[in-house]
Amino acid sequence: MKKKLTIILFAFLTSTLFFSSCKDALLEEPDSFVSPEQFFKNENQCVAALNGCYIPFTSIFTSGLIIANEATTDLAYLNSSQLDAKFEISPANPGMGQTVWTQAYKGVMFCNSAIAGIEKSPVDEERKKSLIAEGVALRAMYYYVLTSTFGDVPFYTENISTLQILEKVTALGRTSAVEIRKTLIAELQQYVTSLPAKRTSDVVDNRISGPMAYLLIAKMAMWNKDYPAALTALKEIQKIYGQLIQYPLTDTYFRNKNTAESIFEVQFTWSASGLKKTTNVACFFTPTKKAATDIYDGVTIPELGAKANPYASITPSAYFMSLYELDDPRRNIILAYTYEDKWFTRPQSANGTGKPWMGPKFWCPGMDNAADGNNQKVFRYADALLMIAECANETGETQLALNSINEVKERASVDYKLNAYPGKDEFFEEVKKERARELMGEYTRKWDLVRWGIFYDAVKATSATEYVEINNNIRRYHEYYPISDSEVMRSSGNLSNPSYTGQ
Amino acid sequence: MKQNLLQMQKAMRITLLIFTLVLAITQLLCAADSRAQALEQRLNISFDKGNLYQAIKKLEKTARIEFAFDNAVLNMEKLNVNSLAFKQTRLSDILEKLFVGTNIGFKEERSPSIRLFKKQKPGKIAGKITDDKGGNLPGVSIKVIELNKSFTTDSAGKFSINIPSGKYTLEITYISFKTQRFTNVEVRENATATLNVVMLEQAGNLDEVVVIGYGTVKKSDLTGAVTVVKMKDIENVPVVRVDQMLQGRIAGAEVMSTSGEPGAGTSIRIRGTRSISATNEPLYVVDGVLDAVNSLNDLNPSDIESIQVLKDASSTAIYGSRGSNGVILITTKTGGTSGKTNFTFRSDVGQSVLPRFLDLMNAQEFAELQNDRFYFSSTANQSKPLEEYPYKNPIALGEGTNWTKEITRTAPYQNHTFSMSGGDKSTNYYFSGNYNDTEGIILSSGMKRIQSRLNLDKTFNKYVKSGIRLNYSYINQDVNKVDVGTSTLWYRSTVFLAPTIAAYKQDGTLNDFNTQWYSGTLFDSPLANSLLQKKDQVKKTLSSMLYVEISPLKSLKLKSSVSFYDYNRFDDTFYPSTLPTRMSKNTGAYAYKRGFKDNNILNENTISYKKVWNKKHNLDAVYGITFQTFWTTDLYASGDGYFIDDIETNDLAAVPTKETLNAGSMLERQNKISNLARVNYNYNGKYYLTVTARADAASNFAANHKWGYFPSAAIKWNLMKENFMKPLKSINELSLRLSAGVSGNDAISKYQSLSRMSSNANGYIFGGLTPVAYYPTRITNEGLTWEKTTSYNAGLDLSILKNRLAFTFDAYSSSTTDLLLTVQLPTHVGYTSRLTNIGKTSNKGLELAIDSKNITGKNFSWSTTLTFAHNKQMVEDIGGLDRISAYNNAFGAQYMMYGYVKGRPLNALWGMQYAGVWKSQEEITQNLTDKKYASSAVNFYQPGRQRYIDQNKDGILDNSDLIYLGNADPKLYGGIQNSFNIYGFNVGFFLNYSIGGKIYNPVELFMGTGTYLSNQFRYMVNAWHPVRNPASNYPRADSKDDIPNDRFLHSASFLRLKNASVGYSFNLVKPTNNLLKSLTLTASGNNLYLWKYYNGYDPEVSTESEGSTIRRMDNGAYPNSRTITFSAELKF
Repeated sequence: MKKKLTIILFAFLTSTLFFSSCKDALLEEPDSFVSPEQFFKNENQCVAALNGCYIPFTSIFTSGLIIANEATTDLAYLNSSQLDAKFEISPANPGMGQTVWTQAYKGVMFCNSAIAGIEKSPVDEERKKSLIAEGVALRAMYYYVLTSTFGDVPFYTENISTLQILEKVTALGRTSAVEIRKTLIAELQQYVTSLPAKRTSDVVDNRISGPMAYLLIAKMAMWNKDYPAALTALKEIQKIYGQLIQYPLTDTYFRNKNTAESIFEVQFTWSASGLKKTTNVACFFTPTKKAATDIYDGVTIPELGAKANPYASITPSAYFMSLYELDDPRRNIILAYTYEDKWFTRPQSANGTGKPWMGPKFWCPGMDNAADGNNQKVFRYADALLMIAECANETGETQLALNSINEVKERASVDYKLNAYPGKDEFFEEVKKERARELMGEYTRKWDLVRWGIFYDAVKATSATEYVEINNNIRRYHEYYPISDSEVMRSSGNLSNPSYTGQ
Repeated sequence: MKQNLLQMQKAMRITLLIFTLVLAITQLLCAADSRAQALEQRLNISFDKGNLYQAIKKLEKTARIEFAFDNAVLNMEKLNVNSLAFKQTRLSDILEKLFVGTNIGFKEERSPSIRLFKKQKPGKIAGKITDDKGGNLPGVSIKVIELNKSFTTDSAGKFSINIPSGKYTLEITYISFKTQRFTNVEVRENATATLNVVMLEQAGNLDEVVVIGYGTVKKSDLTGAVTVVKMKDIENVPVVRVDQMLQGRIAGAEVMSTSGEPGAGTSIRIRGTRSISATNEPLYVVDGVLDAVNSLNDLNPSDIESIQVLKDASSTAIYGSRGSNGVILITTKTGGTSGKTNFTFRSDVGQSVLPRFLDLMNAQEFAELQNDRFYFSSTANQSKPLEEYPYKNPIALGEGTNWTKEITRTAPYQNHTFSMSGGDKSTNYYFSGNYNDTEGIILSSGMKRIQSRLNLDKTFNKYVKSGIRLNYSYINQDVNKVDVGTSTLWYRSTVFLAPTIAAYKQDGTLNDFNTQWYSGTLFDSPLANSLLQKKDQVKKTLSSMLYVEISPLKSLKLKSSVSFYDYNRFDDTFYPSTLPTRMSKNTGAYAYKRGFKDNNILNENTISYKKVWNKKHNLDAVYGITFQTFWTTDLYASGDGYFIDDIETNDLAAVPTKETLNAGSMLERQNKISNLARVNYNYNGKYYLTVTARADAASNFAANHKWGYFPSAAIKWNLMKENFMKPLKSINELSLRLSAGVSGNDAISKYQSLSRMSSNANGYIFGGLTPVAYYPTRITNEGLTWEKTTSYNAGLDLSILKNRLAFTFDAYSSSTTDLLLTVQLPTHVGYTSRLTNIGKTSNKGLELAIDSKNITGKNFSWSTTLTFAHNKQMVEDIGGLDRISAYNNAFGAQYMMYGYVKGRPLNALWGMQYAGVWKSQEEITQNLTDKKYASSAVNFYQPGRQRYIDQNKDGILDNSDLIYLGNADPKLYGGIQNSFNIYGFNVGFFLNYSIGGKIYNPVELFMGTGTYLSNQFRYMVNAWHPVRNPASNYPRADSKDDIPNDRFLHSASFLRLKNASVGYSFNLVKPTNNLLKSLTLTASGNNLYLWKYYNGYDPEVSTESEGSTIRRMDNGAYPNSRTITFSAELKF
């Protein structure tokens, strides 16, 4: 017995010793995820990091932003409970601004991390530069959205990899939007040549290309009123895209994806049993529908089908309707009075002076409930040409201005061409109108109005006269969205909304 | 699986049948005993004059019956019989007549045999029972064990029992006195045996052994704040889960269920909340094993022998980094040593119902509100004819759909447990099996549990003892599929749905269109979700432990144990193609399967030493080393678009396109190493000292912060041992305790100190596909380590009136530093939050438990246990931040509703201060100069819409107007248990209460703002209206402004009749000749009545609770049910 006891005692002691000697047991090494230090070891990993940088776009270019940018302008309004549509926004009710803020900064952070990682990666220098260029252009896009929506915003390009950097970025206040754009323009100018000098549609997998970077330079330069810089960049785009007439107007339909004229589209798709990435933009652009049929405001539209569930539709303003000649082909793309020559009921009302619906450009064929699988068109070549016209008008290159606007007009109809330069102010007015006729629904109108400094007055003179809610609610400070009060709080007051004054 | 369960049900039914049969047979046996057949037969017989012996012999012949007797004793020849004649007379009557005047008795043994015997003249036992001071003790119970009969003393403390001669064992019991037993008390014929007894007072139940961490002590030697839960009070309460037994019974522990769903988790706070981001749940130790159960659902309450709750640092420090939230020690039953086997079978059946409906609008009221909305919206033309209003005839709509009624039901409950225990001096065992089927009050929700336990101990010799503990549980949960109140998916949440939406379409199919979602949307109604979706969760938990105990010397004990925990969870989620939104889009079915595995091995080795010197110095020391390793794996796969519903989740590969197939897996590991030591010393039971220390290391903390040290000490002074206390006769127990110590909280997820890149294969589309994308989700977090809680405790144990009234009073103060805190970051950094060790919280509180034996009589006794607890928890510091939000409104600017601010209570509630509605345009204009009020946005500056106090008078409503609205924690909470014994009936009722806390009803942000999106609380019929109701302060129709404010804040005080039960035990020993022991029948009810102010279902709810700080957060909680149960427990 005693022997046995000794054995047990011995076993007990050894096991105790055994377990207490496991010092390594306290090291922690992850088994199912990687750290940034372990990542960026080859080109595929760098590309995978860049893939991540695109993700927030699908949450930004959706109904919230399109309502704010198109349906609260001089061109259209939306009579619905969406608080963005009625300027019911405030720091307390930040509306769609909350999403744009969150997603755009997520994009910025992803880009910063990817760029820093790629810089340290063992990929060859040439390829590395083009990968970085992609990250730089995507980051510029996020800041472009942020500065256009909120004005001055926190700006940083550092990779948040340590607590110190995190604390530094946390404490950032608003940086002047003009300065942000200057910095980004310089950076883009440095990297743009490393991106493929091709149309976006010619790039594999619809990744961004050089023209996207040039367009961003031009957009931001125009916000900063640096027209020569904008022109230089736009001319590069012109070199790649050539004559506008080669691109058919039907390319502008949102359902036609990644067409040759496109510079930047946000990708969506919908299939019944396959991949789904959808917006609900089309819901706000489709005529009212009779339940369980494919009859839309009195007209059968087989391509839209019976399953769509359109919401209260965006309504064009009388001013916008007045911009089109009756035979302007864009009128029937952007506005819907008829479908295959059958008149909708609403435009016929009030002795044929009723409002048309928004047009087939935005409709989603076979839309299911609210699932819109159309790509969202953000930048395209016609936009670039109209920007050239605007810049050239400012720099006094009148012929270039005239030629550029005429390229756009001519595609609609040869008859619309301006025969002679009408004078600087008149030409500028024409550019404003032409941008409306051409680019309605492409996320740009409000930003244009704000950039021109006429947002409040333009809306007050047009949509506000038709929609009482806008008239009651709009304030001058509404040109920029407020930063959500929760962000103000989390930043310990470094961020604020000085212009928002309530009542 | 379904089939298995069907079989299970069948098996249960058979068991029930057997149970019923056993009962029936018992009755038969009783009957046979009382009605002897041979004695009943009727005879014609006549006897001549002679002696009795002849008469009996004649009777034997005539009746063909055997009489068994010893004539040497009876001497029947010597007894004369007169001539007698009987006609059709019962044999028993004949015998009676024959034996008149003799002392002969008869009894039927086995038919047809009758035993004749000499009747004995009864004797008597009499005496007096006094206490040690000679005082009379009335009502003392004297039990004669052999007869299983009890008697009591009269008012003079005297007793006298008539009893046949023989030798007896008497057991004398009296409350607060030591039970005494007298064996071999001899009673002779016609004589009185005298038994005078002096009862000795018992110092409470202080000899009771209490389990503490890594050891046991006598209750009288406890130095820390430890609550011992009386299992007797809870025996007859029908509960599935252990925590339900604890509610309100432990001073200073707040027990809440996270929801009323069967199988739902539980949330316990011992002495408040300390941590903000790490868990606040106590540590559960089952039979000495840490991390032995996945949830309390794994344990069968009937298996539990005792529960001890360790509350102060002195008692929890032995658990070091795991101890700061308190420790609940659960000890399960073991077998006896008597050599007998005891069997228990218990069945409970019952049913649950939804106790109440919310006071919401009916269809007519809702339609009228919508018409008001229409009236306000068309400001240009308010003279529109009724025909253009959305509801032309609201009255015709009547009640409409009560969505809650549609999805709730009366749910059956059943629970069956079989256990056997027994053993002898070397081996003892306890075995039990349990089947539980609890259906939920919401359609197709519920839980089935099969559980079994085996506890086996073997003593090999005086040196070595060994044993195992095995617990296996299989839980199949039908997870609730219905949103009840949560606003996150409000358009399909039950209470939000408008009564104007029909549950079914005209053709009888499920309605699939929510007209109130903006301009309407296709949706899956709660009814569709509950009927069509499948959400199964199977949880299998095996916890096993093997130990060896060696005592090479009497004073030395070595113990080594290894436990293995194996938890497997399998999820099956299936959305069939017939679900309305899927059917309409023709998207086929969705299937999801998940297998989750969590394991740990714990090895604990302790050496303990116990010695007494000079009969005065008592020393008890323990030292140990433990090692624990955890590993967790997860695997899931899902597919979308399946076109065969019947296969459900069982052929994931049959997906039409691989693009919709998703899969994921993960592995996590964690290791812990600890050293622990404790010394208990006491001098003569008068002065006590306990010193404890533990050093812990865990892998999930940052590199240079792995080790933590947790010391503690306690002293106790037992005043009763002092000479100066001797004269104070009325005090039976008085001792003072003081303790101080440090314990920790390590409960954060693994790998939190490491930076992380996450993968996503469902991101942006490139060329029609979504290739994998990587992005950062966490940065490195150097310095992440334990949270430390330093606490002080002062306690007083007092017992008076012969221990009939006992008080346990504790006061404590604790402060927690290095808080593991999730700090929300400004969104512009791209990360939403980060975990750090900053900040400080404090808890101060008082606890009082009173045990009172109000009445102790033979036929009526009444005892009461009361607990009171007050806890004040404050945020002392949050590392320089202004505030840390714990819960935000999900809409609008996402204003903080629950959050931490320095100097405020931990469970502070935040919001704007409601100031009614604007009554006129003049008020609004005036406000431009006054700036007294502010509304959420420009469109709310309208008559009939909400305004709030503009705290800083800056003209805009923003975060600077958000104020502290109150504390979600109660000022006082606890429970009241009353137990009665009335003529053998055990009656008990238990109330729990909570006074002084506040609760938000977050659904009112929709349902109290007149929005057309959701149904409204009925009070909104009194909403502002320029004509009908111009003085109202309820906002007008369509005024959802997403501003949390004090209008939605309610008192969370309540008093609940938590349970009541009445039971009776039938002693079956005699009637069944020891075949059965007892049968106890009990009827009981749970959650019977609730007195409350809150307009939600139940203020005792915490949807955000597991591991979280937030208490009393009601956002979509499955309502608690009211359950009535009948139980039968048979012991044999």
